[in-house]
Parts: sequence; C-alpha cells; structure tokens
Amino acid sequence: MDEYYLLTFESTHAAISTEKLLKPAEVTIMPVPRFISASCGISVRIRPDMRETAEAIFAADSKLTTDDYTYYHVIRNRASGETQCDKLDYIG
Amino acid sequence: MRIDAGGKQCPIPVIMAKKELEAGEQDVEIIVDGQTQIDNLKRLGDALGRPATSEPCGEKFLVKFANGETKVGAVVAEAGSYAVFFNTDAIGTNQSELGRNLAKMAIFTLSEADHIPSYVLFMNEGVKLVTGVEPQIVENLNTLIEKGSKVLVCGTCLNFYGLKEELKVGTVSNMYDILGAMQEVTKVIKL
Repeated sequence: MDEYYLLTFESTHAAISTEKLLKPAEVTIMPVPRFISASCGISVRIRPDMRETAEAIFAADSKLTTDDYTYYHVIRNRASGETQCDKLDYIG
Repeated sequence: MRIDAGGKQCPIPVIMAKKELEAGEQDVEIIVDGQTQIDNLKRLGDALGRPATSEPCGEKFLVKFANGETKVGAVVAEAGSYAVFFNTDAIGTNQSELGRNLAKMAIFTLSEADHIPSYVLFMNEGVKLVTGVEPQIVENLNTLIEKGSKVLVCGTCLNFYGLKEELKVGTVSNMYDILGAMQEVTKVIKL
C-alpha cells in the first residue's frame, strides 16, 4: 500500500520552486500520475509523516495562490492497482 | 605469471589483466592497491569465465584468476532488456534546473516501472547524480538495485570531478564494464 499527499501545479516554475521550498520536509518529485490530469507534468510528493511539516512551510512561505496548485491525498494498492485519489482543501 | 599493478588506478589493472587472460595465459596473478581494483578485476574474471579470488599481500592485494579457457566474444542479450545511460546530470544539454528535475523524475519513473532496466549507467557529469546531492535519486536507485538492476558509475569520472568519496549508490566501474553492459542489452536509452 502506497499512501502520499501530492501537489500538482499549473506551471513548471511553480513545481520547481515548491520542491525547493519543501526540501526540509523531504519531499520528492514525480511525474503527475496518469490518473490525475494537470497542465504541468511535475508534481511534488509528500510522505504522510511529513505532511504537517510540509503544510506549515508551504502556508508560511509559498507565494502561490489557490489558482496555481491542487492538493491531493492518494492511496494506491500496488497489488491490485486500485487507486483512491481525493482532492483536498487548499493549504493555509 | 604475476603482474604488478601496484599504484595503478582503474582501469589500468583491468587492461593489464585482460590482455594476458585473452592471450590465454594461465596462473595469472596481479598485485593491486585496493578494493575498487579488486572488484573490477573480479567482474572481469566472471565475464571471461576465469573467476578471480583475492588475498592481502603486504599492504597491497593479490588477485588470482582461475585457470582455464578464456571466454571470448558475444554475450547473448536477454530479449527486451535495456540499459539507461546518463552522461550529463540533466536531461538535455543546457544544464538547467528543469533538466536536473527531469532526470530526477526519470529515475523515479524507472524505479516504479514493471519492466526495469538491466543497467543504469553514469558517465561524465552523469556521476554527479549519484553523489547524494539529491537523496531522492539515491533512494530510487537503491529500489532499482533491490529489484535487480545494476548501477554502474564511471570511476574515472568520479575521480576527475573529485567525487570518489561522495558516491552514495552504485558500483564504481570502468569503460570495459560500461561498454560491455551496453552490448549485453538489446537497447540503450540515452537520457
């Protein structure tokens, strides 16, 4: 079972700057999964145990507005390939 | 015959041993300085059907190759097998932040793939990807290694950039093994 939080973005620059901003929360980047569509292909993945840290940094320091990104909670069953993907409220 | 390759850096000891083994020499022994050379010579021995053992010899090491016939020629490629080759630390040649992020995502995507590469190869500036600057890359490559990929990193290149001590994942390798890997698979993808 794979569980993570995911930020997708309207622009590549927003994705790259967010990844840099959230480095202390040990985020990783990945291509936007096929089950989500977005205009930019880079997404930032947050481990569940780092969710609070990442959200705190994002709320305090990100200049992005709610038009710039979308926030998801993803649970994926590797064995069955079944994926649950919920859109979350904006951060902050 | 005994070859003294003390003080010689890779790939010199490998070149010296390969020459003798391919000439059909028996009782081939070679003196080298350290573990990197030993590992490279052992891989050479395996590839040539003349497996090697090593033992300490004073402050250096003695690597002995088994006697027998030296295997020459082609290695049969596994159908559909592939290698991924990074010769820069980014996808694209403009060394941009975008290119480095694309490289990072490519390695992540490979680590999640059902059909993993037989080899992931790093040469020239590509070696900067495996020095732990990006923990994500190290983690994803370790996943690939667990799944059965081999990660080979050009030792000459690590040495050139002064990054030998920084290597965080993969095996220090040489031109023979990296080119050998490319020839062994059915396709090489250069990113």
